[in-house]
Amino acid sequence: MKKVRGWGKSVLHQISLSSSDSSMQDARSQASREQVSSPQSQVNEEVVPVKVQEEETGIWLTPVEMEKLEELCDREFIHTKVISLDFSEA
Amino acid sequence: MGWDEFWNLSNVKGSKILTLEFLSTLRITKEKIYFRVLNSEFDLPWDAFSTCLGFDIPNIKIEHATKHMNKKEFWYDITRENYEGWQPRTSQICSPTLLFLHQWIRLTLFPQDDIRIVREIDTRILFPIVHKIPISPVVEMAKHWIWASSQPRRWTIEFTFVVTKFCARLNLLNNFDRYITTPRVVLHKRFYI
Repeated sequence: MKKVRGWGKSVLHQISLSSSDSSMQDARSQASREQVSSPQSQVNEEVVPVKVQEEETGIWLTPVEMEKLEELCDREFIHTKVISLDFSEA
Repeated sequence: MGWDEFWNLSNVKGSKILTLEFLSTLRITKEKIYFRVLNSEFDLPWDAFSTCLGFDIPNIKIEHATKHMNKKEFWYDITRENYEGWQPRTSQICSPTLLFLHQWIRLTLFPQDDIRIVREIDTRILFPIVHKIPISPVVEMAKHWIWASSQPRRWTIEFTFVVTKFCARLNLLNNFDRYITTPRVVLHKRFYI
């Protein structure tokens, strides 16, 4: 697998490129929205945990990830606090 | 510091659903970070992830940037007080700029309930800032996300900007509107007086 170094600002563009760019395949999204088993995924079925869709959120997760989600679901999520840039405001 | 594309989060909304998916699938190694968002997998070297968040710095290793740091000497440099081992406080920092920077670090990079405490990692980020050594704190941030997500339920998840910013910079949020609806907390000048 080719290592990609020296990403710089072009990384955003590179990650957004189509998967035809082989140099990015190790870093790029690999399974976008592939919920239907493909022949390749069937080959890997023994090593790749099956994902199921969590009912409430609609997120596709493996059993281990589902446990983590259940731990997190009841937590409070807030916008990250920010500091006002208007220093004239009292 | 090369943080120009990162620091301003005032327009970056948080999303519970994106953060849930991100945290539920998040795994890190010494070389990479793996997670899924919007049902897409990302398996990125740290420098790529760092750039995606807006840190435009090749050197991402804080341990390298702080290898010559003497904690007690640095604490004396920024506070004119001896480091005595108790919980250092942000109010001890003499420079208003550094004090402000520390509070920004605590609010943004490692959000926790009490932003008055200067933790070990804070000084390891302030040191390169003072000495103008380019760093990216993404590895330490990710460790914080994992730590914070394993805390008891009373702990609020505040770093919701991360996944939104990542997705926005990759143009993945077209037509996405499932953001947190509660108002954002904005700290104004009076907070510092």
